[in-house]
Amino acid sequence: MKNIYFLIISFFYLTFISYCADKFEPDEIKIDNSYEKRFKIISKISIQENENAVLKSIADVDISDNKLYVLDYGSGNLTIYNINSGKLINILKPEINLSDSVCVKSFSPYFMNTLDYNYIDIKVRNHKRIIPLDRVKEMNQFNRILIDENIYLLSTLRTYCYKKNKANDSLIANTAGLVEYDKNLNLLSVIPFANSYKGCPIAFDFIKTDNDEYYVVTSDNIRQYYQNKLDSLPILGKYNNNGDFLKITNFLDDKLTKSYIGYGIDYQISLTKVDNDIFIATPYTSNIVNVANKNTFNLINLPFSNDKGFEYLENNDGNIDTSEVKNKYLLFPVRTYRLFTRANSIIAISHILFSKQKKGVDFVQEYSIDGTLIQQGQVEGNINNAVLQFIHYNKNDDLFYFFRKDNSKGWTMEVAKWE
Amino acid sequence: MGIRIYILFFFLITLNLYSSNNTYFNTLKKNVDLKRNEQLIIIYQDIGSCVKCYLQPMDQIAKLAKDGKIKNFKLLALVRCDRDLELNIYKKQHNWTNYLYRDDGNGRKRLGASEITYLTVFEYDGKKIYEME
Repeated sequence: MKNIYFLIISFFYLTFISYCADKFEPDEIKIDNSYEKRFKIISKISIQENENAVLKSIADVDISDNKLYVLDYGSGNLTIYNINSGKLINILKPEINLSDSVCVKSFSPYFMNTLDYNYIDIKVRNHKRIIPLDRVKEMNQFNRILIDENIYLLSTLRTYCYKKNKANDSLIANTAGLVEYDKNLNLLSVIPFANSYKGCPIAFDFIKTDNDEYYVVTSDNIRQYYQNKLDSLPILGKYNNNGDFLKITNFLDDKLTKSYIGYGIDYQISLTKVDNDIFIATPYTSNIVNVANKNTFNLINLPFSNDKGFEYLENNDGNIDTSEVKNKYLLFPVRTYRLFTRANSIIAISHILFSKQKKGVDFVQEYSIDGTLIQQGQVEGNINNAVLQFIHYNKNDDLFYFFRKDNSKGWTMEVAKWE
Repeated sequence: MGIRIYILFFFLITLNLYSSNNTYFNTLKKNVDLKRNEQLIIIYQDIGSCVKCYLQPMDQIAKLAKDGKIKNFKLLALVRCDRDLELNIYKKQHNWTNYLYRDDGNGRKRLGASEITYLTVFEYDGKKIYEME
């Protein structure tokens, strides 16, 4: 009997020790509630799905002419809905023929530019019977949307390459490109961005300037993973309206390279333009940088700081001791994933991960361009199993759009305004 | 006496772990209607991930089949997503005509595979014969 007591005590002791081993706790910050402004929900709309139009997770949203344009990260499609009813109107797929315009550009496929690879179009591919990639039906993705008089879609274009004189040695390369449609969804142009400084880039965000120049955020996996380099990782490039590369304008924040994260976990870098100034935010650094003059301000009045997480990784050469940190995401409880422009100020959306016990919440903060916090609001992460997946701000109607997914009931969109 | 109880304790834990893995495997087996003389190949997939993540396991399967290391098998894609409806995206993206099953994020763990495993081959009785990372 004594042994059984001993066994039970040992079991609880070991459980207790294991519980205590979860040592890492991010620094909590007391919030000043005077900045708090509540959101009032004006309407709630169900978003129609069917077998051909399934939303997995939202990559981006825009609104124009009473239509809701949604990019789905899973399928890479653009799906268009009636903004008032949520009824499906149309689906636009990033067809593989968009990739053909990459072939007519005179740049080489990423890091293979020292080798003898060439981009090829669909016609050549079929002629040369280059096979392996026929098994993949849909490869391209629309990643970001901007609508003015036309529809601009920043896309990841995947293009076939083959080694000259060796047709069976083929691969797929990624290129960022801007695809333009009119509002009747007629294709107008495809501008592939020449990627001489990027390896295997996946497109993330872009700004179209008044001079028809483009600032494009892409990743550069080659440098980090293949060349084992973490310093000076480029994140933002400037291009002319032909897609020719002009210069690198920004590199990844030192915090992300010194902590060995680099482009790791959730590469979500966001841009916004206020008048002629462009601002950039990286997910864990809790700051916003002016692209031109590099003036930087920190996001304030959020419930946690990520600084301790960066210090932890820097001190541990980027390694995570799982006896100290059970959930690696708790190293960085603040993830700023989207910037918008509201009149002359910046809206920053940050997802806050509290702990396993407490539900997440998104903070919507408005800052002046010199970094003064104007106001902020909170959006509950989970309401009756409808989990917040994306927040969009539409400057034309000054409304916020909260997108929630319920695994049994589907997607809903809540339209909200600041009270 | 003490040592026996410890052994029994760990035996029961191991048995419990094994049976929960086995239950999951049996569910998958039932899903594909696996026959006694068949092998089950499972590939672990995400929706919207890079093309390579799809091509790599498919190339390995072709190689294993060519080398005669697998034969008479059924192929199941265990796809990470929240809803069964989302499996349609995968189906369309890859012209997928084989078996599909939704992975709630614990599929690899339940099958005793590591976080970076992309392909596992099982015999009918659940014996793992190949695992590729």
